[in-house]
Amino acid sequence: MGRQTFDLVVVGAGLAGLAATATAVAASGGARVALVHAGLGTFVYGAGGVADLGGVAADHPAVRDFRALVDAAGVPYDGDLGQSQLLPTILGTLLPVNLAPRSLWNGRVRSGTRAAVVGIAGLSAFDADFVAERLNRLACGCCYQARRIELPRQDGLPHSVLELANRFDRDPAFRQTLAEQLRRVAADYDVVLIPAILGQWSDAGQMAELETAVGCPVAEMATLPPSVAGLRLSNRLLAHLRGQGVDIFGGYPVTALEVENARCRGVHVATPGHARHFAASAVILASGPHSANLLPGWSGDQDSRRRPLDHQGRFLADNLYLAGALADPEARHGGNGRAIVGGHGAALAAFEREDDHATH
Amino acid sequence: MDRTQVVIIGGGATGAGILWDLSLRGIAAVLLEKRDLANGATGRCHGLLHSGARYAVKDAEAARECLRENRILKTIAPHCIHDVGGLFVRYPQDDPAFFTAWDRACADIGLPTAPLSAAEALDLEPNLPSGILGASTCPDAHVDVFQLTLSNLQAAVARGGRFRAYAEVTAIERRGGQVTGVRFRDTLSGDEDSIDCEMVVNAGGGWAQQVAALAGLHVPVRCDKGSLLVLNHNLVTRVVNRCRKPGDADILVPAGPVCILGTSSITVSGPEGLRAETDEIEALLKLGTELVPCMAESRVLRIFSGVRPLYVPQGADKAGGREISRGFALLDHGVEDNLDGFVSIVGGKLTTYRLMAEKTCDLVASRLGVDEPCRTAETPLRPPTPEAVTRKIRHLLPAQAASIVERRLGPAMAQLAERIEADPDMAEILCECEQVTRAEVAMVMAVDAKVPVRTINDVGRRCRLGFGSCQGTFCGYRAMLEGYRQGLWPAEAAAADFKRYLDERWKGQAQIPNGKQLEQLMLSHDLFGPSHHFHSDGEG
Amino acid sequence: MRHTDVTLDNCLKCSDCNAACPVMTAHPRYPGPKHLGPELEKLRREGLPCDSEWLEYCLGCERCDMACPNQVNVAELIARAKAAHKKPLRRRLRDWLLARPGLLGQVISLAPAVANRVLALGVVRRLMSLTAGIAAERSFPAYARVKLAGVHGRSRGAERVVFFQGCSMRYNEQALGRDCIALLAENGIETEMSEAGCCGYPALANGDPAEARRRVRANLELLYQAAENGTPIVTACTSCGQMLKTGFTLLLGDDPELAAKARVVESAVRDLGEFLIERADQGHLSLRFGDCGHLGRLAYHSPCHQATQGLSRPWFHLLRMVPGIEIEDLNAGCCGMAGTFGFKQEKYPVSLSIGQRLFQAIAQAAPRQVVSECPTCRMQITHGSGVPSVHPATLLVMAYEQRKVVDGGGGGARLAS
Ligand SMILES: Cc1cc2nc3c(=O)[nH]c(=O)nc-3n(C[C@H](O)[C@H](O)[C@H](O)COP(=O)(O)OP(=O)(O)OC[C@H]3O[C@@H](n4cnc5c(N)ncnc54)[C@H](O)[C@@H]3O)c2cc1C
Ligand code: SF4
Ligand code: SF4
Repeated sequence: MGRQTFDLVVVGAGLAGLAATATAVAASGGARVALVHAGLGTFVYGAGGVADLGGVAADHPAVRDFRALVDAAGVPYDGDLGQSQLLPTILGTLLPVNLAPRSLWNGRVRSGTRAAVVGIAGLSAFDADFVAERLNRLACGCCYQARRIELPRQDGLPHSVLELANRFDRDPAFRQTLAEQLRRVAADYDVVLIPAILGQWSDAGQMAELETAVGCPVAEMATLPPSVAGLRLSNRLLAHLRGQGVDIFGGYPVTALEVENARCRGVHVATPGHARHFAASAVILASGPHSANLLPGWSGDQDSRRRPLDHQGRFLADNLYLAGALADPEARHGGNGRAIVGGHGAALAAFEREDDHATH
Repeated sequence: MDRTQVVIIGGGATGAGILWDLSLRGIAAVLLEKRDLANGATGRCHGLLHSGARYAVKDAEAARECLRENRILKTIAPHCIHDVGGLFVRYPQDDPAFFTAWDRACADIGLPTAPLSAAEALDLEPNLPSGILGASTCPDAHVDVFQLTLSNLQAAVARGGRFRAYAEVTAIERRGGQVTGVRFRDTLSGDEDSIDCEMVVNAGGGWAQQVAALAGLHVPVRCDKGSLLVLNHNLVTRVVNRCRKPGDADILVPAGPVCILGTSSITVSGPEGLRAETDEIEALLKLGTELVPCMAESRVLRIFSGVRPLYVPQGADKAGGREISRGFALLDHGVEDNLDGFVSIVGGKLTTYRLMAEKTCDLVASRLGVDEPCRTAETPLRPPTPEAVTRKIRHLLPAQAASIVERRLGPAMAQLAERIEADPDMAEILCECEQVTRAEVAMVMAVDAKVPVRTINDVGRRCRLGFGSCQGTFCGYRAMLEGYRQGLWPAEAAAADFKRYLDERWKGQAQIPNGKQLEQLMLSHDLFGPSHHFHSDGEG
Repeated sequence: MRHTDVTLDNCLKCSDCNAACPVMTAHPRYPGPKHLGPELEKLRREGLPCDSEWLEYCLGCERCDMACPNQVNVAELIARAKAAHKKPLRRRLRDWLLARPGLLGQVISLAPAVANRVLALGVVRRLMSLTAGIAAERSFPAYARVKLAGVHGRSRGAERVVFFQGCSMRYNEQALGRDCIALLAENGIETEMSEAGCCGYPALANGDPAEARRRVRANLELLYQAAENGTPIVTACTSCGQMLKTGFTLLLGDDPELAAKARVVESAVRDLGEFLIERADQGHLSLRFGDCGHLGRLAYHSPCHQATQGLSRPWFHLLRMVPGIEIEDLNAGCCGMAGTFGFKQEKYPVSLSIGQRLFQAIAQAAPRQVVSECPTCRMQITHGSGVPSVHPATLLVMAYEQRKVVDGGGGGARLAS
């Protein structure tokens, strides 16, 4: 069995795992952090909007740190934790959020504004008329009008959100055509709403460039999977963390935690050829709602430091922490906020543990 | 006030078969169905086109009937049938005496079988357990129940028959000893209406008792619930039967890209509110794993239950559901209850629906004084597909999409091709599991369709959209938008129907005990709940 | 074919795989891993005629597998379908050849001087393009005559590894082979150059499972004894490594006896970078590196088949241990070469188009050399960006050498404490 040693192993690359990893990197100063994941969490289903922090205060440091992280990764969030706003969705509903990636936040309901809902000919997964018709019935003080643009086809094929996003990333001429088409529409409106297609990799700079060319704010609406807005967040955050020196082991699930005498020695990963063992001083499990099987004997509860407890109320291991949907399986609403706060808290708890150790 | 000669109540295979048979004989008829086609046992059955082999030992007459109908349906409705063949597999834990009895019984009725060694059987079906003793082939097949019902309706409509979905008969009008018409209610809009007629046929399946009660009569029907599990892919490529006295979960039917395990047999009080119980599902899975061991790790997509309407004449009410004959009964209430013009057809099997329709229509025709013989046994349900049309579709669509749609649409592919040629975007696939194109969905949704749709679920019954692993989470949304674009419904109505659709789909998955489908279900909940604020479980 | 294999059931249709697929960025008609893998697999098992022309466009990079949150073996489903699919004759002939890099190597190495000159001729390359469907734009690697064999770097009580060379090293990059030997020797390890031939991956990628099976069958016998004895089998090529860790079971797993042997061999295989980083982790890596500031800016590209082995850029970390080295991790996706894929005329434009993101990242980083452990990635990088490329082992050996220069020669390896 292969073996490598880390200060911290984070399991899971959803929002909770990424927040935990980023917090650990920032808090520890040069600790060896490994992020082990078997896929990208739920990013592909949404856009990363934050609606609810599970009861913590609006000025919680987790939020400050998260915003610093997304800024650094080129996918800044906007919003105010104290005040909920409504974002239009592709189903013609309004989604309450407090924080959202800038490109989505641009679309928030602001009374008295005129918004163009822009469909793209050949993109059947989004229907601007449907969205505008439904939004207008909600009488939220905005006026929505459906508009339509044509983008050059590849080989005469219909579009898909992924195809458009990939072209946005790769082809400057495509970006220019898109900007021109949107500018033509934008003249009569305060904001243009489009399905999320603005690149899997694009950063705030590219978005700003587009808006300058269009002449008004451009807002994205997350589509049904794949949600390009979510993928972008995931891609950029992972790349940012990798740039920060985090070792990312993707694609293979953790099959077991090695727990001995109430101490987690590390994790086993089912990599090809031979399983690998990552030894760690602390482990954060942020592997999503379907991974409780990694915690035999877990009662479902945790202590104040986010450590899973057994049925007698003892922690399973003193250096094992939980974050994200695994920790709060019931919290379906506001999962993103809880993930950010939970990941942050788990990482701080993990390093606090190390500090305790050092002083003894 | 609308008029016709015959009103048929119940849009299952039997009712649809009757509409077709009457239309072929030139008798004007209207079929009223309270939901959509195949809402009852037809849409909730195993889809096994019996060869008769299952009944050979116990009931030679029923077996002969099945064998005859099996052959007829394979010639008149090949597009509804996956002629995959069947195996009767000998498991070491089963009674060897039954094996010999089965061989003899099949030979007696002339049912073609061929013995296979264990090795040969395993070669054909590698997912069978390695310890089997051997197997025999038989001419079982899979029948697409929705396609079969739809084809009967389409053929009938082309001949002047009329079908009305979402029309629940609420009263049967009579004057003295004669039926004069029915009243019905639109179950989506609530509107009431009526039709005058000379005869009423009760093809209400599990509801036959309730339908007869509308005329003040009693038709004794026992409801025998059977539950089935749909598995995500073909674990076997032929129908696999366990060679033993018929029991629970001893048949696995490959049904297109999925396969279906069944069934249980439990007497219930009525045809509504059916639900598979947890222990029932567990028992099915356990027995299924004996049939095909890898079932233990396989993904269950959906669980559903239907009722077999078993006719129980006075005094014949014996113990368990399977003891009662699967044969059918045709009741002429003019003779039995002094109500002229009212006929009930109850019991039977999907496999014998055509025969049931034939007998019913013979009676109806004779009462109406019409002298036309039954021609459904020789008349193909659908004209052949011109070679040029097939070629065109193969050119327009990927191979797999072309071959699937060829079965579903046949000659109507000409219209599909027209739509795609007019707008190549219509070739886009909306439902990936069943390879349904936008063009096909648009055709199904067209206002001039022979059997029109009013809900997303109706779309599924016509082209199988939403029957695969996402269970409509993604393709249901796409179909809703397509309906919106086709002018089928305005935005609000579209959204409302999509919510109902999700509810129904979620319900069908909620009982799945574990595994990937539950994750898929949770995903669907999260996507439309927290992510889009569109719909949550239980919200209206 | 493993019939109990039901991972296609795991697919939730999330499309993460499609988002990760490099071919989807470069070819508008490519239907993507979700469709070619789990979706079509259901229909293939139903026995329906399915489109197969796109299967050939799959790079086998397995980025789809790595992205899938539900452990669907997407690339394997595609590879199996590819193996069953029939190609037109001309492509069949060419792919037959590309499936057998060892054969080409053997023939050419009989008279490498002549062959290298002939292969370099424009006329010949255009001829190959016309008759054999090999992209005329590509240049062929130079072939060498000498072969590396036997045991090297013997020293008393030394640990030993069996070194799997792979076709590229065997026929084109003997110098790299010698670097690897030196690198290991520096760490007190003796290297036995294995006789094993092609790993079989090119055959698998070219839809020739029979040939692939022959290759792994032969290699299994050659490598089994060493693996049984606990000797690590080390390779410096990521694609060989991926194949050696998975291919035996994939191709021979149906036979219980071979399957058992396959598992023994597979579990003994280590990527050279993986091997060294784990030694470093345990304090067993020689850190006697000299300053390498003179190398200038370097940029590192991690091959797809490194991530698929569940490794996280070990070579990058190793190089960063060398004082004075200035190296940037490009992290710019797949290079688009995918072994023999980029040689094929009809795939050449797709191959280059996939590489655009990487080439741009290289242009931006403006390195003096690009470092990558995969031989065909390096070929593509130099072809697409014009920047020379080098295997990281070569740089590490230079770093050791540098120290020796500074130390005035002599001085064996000292292990990190
Ligand atoms: C679990 C199970 C598995 C089976 N497997 C097989 C098999 O593999 N092979 C086989 O050959 N047979 C099988 N059968 C039997 C077969 O499904 C039925 O015999 C057959 O489908 C009955 O068709 P039907 O049209 O008579 O009744 P149904 O399909 O039940 O049709 C009755 C229709 O009447 C409608 N209706 C009721 N009341 C009213 C009203 N007041 N107004 C208007 N409409 C009304 C209902 O909505 C319904 O659509 C199975 C049955 C079950 C339950
Ligand atoms: S292996 Fe690579 S090229 Fe092939 S489908 Fe997967 S991601 Fe695409
Ligand atoms: S990533 Fe995995 S689960 Fe998602 S669509 Fe692809 S194969 Fe299916």
